[in-house]
Amino acid sequence: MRSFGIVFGYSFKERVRSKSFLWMTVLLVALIAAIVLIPRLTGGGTSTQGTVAVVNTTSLPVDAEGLGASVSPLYEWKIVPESEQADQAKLLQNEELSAIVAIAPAAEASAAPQITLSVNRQEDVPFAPNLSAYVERLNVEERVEALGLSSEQAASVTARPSLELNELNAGGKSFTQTYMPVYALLTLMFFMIYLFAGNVATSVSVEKGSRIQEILITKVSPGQLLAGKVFGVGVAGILQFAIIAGFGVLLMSFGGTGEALSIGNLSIDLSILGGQTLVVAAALFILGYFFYATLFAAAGSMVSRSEELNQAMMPVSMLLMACFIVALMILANPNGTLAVVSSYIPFLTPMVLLTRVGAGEPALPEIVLPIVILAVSTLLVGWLSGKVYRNGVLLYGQKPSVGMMLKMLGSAGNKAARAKIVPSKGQAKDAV
Amino acid sequence: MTLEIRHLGKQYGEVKVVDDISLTVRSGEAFGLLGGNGAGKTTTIRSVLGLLEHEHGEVLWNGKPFLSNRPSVGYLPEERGLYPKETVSEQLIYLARLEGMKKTAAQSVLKSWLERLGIAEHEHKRVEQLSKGNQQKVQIISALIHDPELVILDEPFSGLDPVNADMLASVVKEQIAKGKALVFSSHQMMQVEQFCEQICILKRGRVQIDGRLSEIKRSYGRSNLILRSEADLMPFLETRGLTDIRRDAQEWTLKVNNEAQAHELMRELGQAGVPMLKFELKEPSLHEIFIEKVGEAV
Repeated sequence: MRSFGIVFGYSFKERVRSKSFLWMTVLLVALIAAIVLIPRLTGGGTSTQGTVAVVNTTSLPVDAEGLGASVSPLYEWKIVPESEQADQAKLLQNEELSAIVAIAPAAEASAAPQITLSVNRQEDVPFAPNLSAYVERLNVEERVEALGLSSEQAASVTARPSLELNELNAGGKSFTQTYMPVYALLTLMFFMIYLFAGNVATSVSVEKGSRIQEILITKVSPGQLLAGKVFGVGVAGILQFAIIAGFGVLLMSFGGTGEALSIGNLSIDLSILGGQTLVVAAALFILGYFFYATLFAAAGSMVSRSEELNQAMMPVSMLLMACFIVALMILANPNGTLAVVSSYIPFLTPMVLLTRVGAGEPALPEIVLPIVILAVSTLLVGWLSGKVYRNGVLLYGQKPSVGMMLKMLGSAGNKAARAKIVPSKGQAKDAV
Repeated sequence: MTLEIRHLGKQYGEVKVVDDISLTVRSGEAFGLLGGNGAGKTTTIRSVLGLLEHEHGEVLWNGKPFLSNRPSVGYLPEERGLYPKETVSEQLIYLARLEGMKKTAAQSVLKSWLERLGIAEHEHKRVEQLSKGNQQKVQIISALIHDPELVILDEPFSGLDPVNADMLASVVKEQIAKGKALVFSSHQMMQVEQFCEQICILKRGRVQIDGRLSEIKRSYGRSNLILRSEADLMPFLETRGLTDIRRDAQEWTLKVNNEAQAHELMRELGQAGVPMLKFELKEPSLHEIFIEKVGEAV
């Protein structure tokens, strides 16, 4: 246990003091600062989609304020006199205007006013239905007034239905709301696991490549060495994550953006990631890291030179990549069969379950059971990786291969079997 | 304190790289494990340390299984290994702490070692910034900093210049004087002769000869005859049927079958009135014994 502590401390310190740790932290903090602060510095969200000129030749009280409130707040509304309509048409031609709205009285006195919308493209005026409703309402109000009804009668005629959005989220939460936060969390998880678990592999291969392994193994058992390394690097990862997340939360609360972020026209409401999601995410983050870090360590222990590392890491990287891709695939349908089934497969669980919890509505057992399976698998994978590591770290001159790995796994604590791992000619020469 | 290896055997497939090796190393004594390339020296050492599993035999420390009763070990591997990107002090303190030393104790012992080996100014440099010789010194400190009971040095002199080799020699002698059990693998016979009382010569994993160096030499008899004279001895020596003669300036070195033959030769030289400056009868050197036993140049 003492040795574990020393290896843990050394690995942690080594990781935290590395240049990549420093740069990664600075870069991510700067990125978050940019995302949170830039929209505020540039006037934060007051940008408009364009300007619409309105020529009103009716007696209806059409004004910019009413248009902004009732039709669309995203456009700047400009009331222009009829005489300037030709000039406005030129502006529209030059695409300096999004649209010209002409509201004219109908030929027949009893008919509703005529609205003419001049645009370059139809999709420039997503507010058309709102515009029609707005003018209709003004028209109705004017006519009701002309009838000389009592105020109650008038109110009962012009009363507008109340609309309340009651989202039940049956069959999944709103895709548009959950997509960005879950996507961001998944990407973060993928990169953090890849970076830190990958760092364990690098560290193992450096110790092996520099041959200090042979000295270390006479001082510490391979199991303690591996565990100390995985935990040390892992805690450094948690520290880095805490720094970045803490900075983000601090900036958002001081910046007054609350829990919403806006990138361009995209508004990300982080409150969609509730407490439950974050607790599950933390558990998955940690278990996912240990699952992949021990696998990467086993891969790192197979190589003799650091140039071979990428090749050895490939199968594990593929698993991690598959995990990310399946999680993205089920993002649109987090309660589908693929999502449910894949959440129980340990190497997919970390990101798939995160997607399910963030975007879907899994029942409690559907959350707890995959986590338990992942935890048990992580212990199992850790144990198996420890065995590969134990044999691998002192074996030189061999091309890393799955076959070799299986041979090492086959030598389950059986001394005779373990000794039978036959080295190549180069290794035999190396060993004597 | 005694390290005992009994009937150690290790094979890769059908190839026996270590075949029935037995030896005993006592504290205050240096044991020389000799052999050519591929003789099984490093495999023996790795098996002792548990870095390799062995199929046969056992390794004991004070009569108990080595691995479950392991002493603190100072190990200098044949393939040198340090963290290239870490500083000298950091990694040496790390390695010392893994052997149970307190950080402060490790720091002060490290200081004295760095001064002793003349590399105090490199304390905070990364290992990769040091010369090969200085890296070797750091490696030696890594093996000795924790004052181990058993010291295993695999080819400790390779790569050292004569000055540093002398310095290492004094360190090794000091370790022996402190009562450490020391195992020493080498194919440089000069150094082995300097320290080791006990030796074992391996060839293809098998013991060729082992025991006390002085006894081994004695068993070979004094068969090296060295003659020095201002006269030319060649014609005289040739008529006596002696052929294995080496001449350096005024000195002739030759092999005799036994001491009696040498004495006979001296008598004849006296009778012939050859003016002799030197007449010396010597045991074979370890180098010669090694060549004879291993049968290949080293």
